[in-house]
Amino acid sequence: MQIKKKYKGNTYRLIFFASIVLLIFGVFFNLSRIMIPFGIAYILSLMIQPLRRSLYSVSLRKKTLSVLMAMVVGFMFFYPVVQGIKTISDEAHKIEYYLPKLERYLREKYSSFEKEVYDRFNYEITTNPVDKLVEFGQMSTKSVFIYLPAIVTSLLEWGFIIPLFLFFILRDGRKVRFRFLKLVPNNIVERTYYLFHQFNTKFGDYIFAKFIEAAIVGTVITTGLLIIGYPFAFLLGVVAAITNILPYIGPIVGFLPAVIIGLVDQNPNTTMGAMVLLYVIANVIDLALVFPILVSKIVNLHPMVVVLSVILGSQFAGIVGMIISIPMAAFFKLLFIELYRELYSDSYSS
Amino acid sequence: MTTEESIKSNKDDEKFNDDRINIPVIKYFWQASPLAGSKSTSINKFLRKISCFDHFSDFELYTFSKFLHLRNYAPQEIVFKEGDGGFGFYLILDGTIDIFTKHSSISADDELNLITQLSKFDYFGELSLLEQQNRRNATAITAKNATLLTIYKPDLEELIERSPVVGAKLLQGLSTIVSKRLNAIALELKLSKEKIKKLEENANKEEV
Repeated sequence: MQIKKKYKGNTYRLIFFASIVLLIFGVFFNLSRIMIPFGIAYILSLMIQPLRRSLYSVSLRKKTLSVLMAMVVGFMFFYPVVQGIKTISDEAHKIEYYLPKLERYLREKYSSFEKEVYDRFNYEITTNPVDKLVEFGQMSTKSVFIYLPAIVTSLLEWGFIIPLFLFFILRDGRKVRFRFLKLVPNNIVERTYYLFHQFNTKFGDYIFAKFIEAAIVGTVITTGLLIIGYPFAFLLGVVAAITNILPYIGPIVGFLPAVIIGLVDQNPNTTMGAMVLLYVIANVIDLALVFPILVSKIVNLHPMVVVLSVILGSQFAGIVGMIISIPMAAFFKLLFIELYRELYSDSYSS
Repeated sequence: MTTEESIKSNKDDEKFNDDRINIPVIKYFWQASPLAGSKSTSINKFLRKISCFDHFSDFELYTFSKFLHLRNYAPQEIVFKEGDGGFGFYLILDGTIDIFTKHSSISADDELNLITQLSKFDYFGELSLLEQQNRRNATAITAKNATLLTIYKPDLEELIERSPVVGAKLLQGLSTIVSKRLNAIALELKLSKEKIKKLEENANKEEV
């Protein structure tokens, strides 16, 4: 017997299925007010998979677990926003004090540089980048304060919507997945489910691993800075933790604010050497212990591919794109392998 | 009954009422009623008749059935092809499935060899749930309209996490199928070797 007949129903089903998928994506990408909280809720649902597994082992029911998780996430959103208003105002006062200091420091350095250039080369620099920089800084600070109420409002809105979405994803996720799979044509159902599962697993595990990694780096830096008595220990720890999510450039970007504060704060107690050593230790712990154990096993990609995917991710979706680019690249690699097998394997279709 | 006894019995009743009502169990008993004829009960009855689920209790079968996908196939539709990545275990709820293999693994021709025909209550593709990266070693094509129940690997993983006992029993059932098949192959191999040995002996005698 030869496989010659192709069941035509699958082609129609494929067209219908592809249209549905495109329609869903089209609607989502055009409605950012729904897409962003839903995306966050979905990523959170993937991130808490390991926690779900351990809670299932103590016989916690799915509905109880969904309510519990939604409450925890809701609290995690509201608490920082409510507490954050006070901290932001405190930090704003501190910044008010620090910004003129930074401006003075930059002007001093620039004038000495200008003088040195004039002494050595007898050339007078006419442009003043410090003015432009200060102007840019003032504009940025103003725009932050203008947009702050809108940001706080959307954060509070997310605080309601994200736990709600998370609750329904956790409770009805399997049901929706099963119904969605009914739309997939029979000839590609196994591969589609496999890719979908791999995508979810890689994405969830990667984001979870990066979250743990960022928390470890943030804790090490905050604790270390508090011990050596460096200013803005908590804020710098948070910045280092957030920037650590970005691969390769993240640690450098997280290190820069600490250097700037150290240079501006001409306090004899500020120990720059100890601070630099602390950042080096934190990154060595990250690179030598946390990254190989947690992250590298999840995404097996060439460093060049990682860098390229981060650049592409930043171009398409900014910081979010940089974070999700690596698991997306891992997924596309998997998709490519599957397509290659399908097109170039020596099975009957060839 | 004394007053003390009645107070004690009331307390016992209260304790009983405080116990959490297990909705899935009540739902199961409701659906297991012989008068009820829903799709889920017919699936449970179907599963009961399959040999590899012999050691499942009724409630375990009900739990397992919630992880199954029901899929309909037209005649001559390919379920999976030899060499494809395997990801699902299939139970035939209705219809007939033809199992083919290629004539030779080296030749690139499309000629297929019918090795068996499976019908209702039969199952196939169990290795895909046990192996990490399974490749199908045969092609399955529907002979006529067929309805298949499938469990895919991610569902098995979820089943193991959610109901470890049912997951373990399923894996035990699958291992039994595989061990039976291995024993059959070993016996076949032994008989084939004996045949070859006899043929060689006969050939040697003829040469002498």
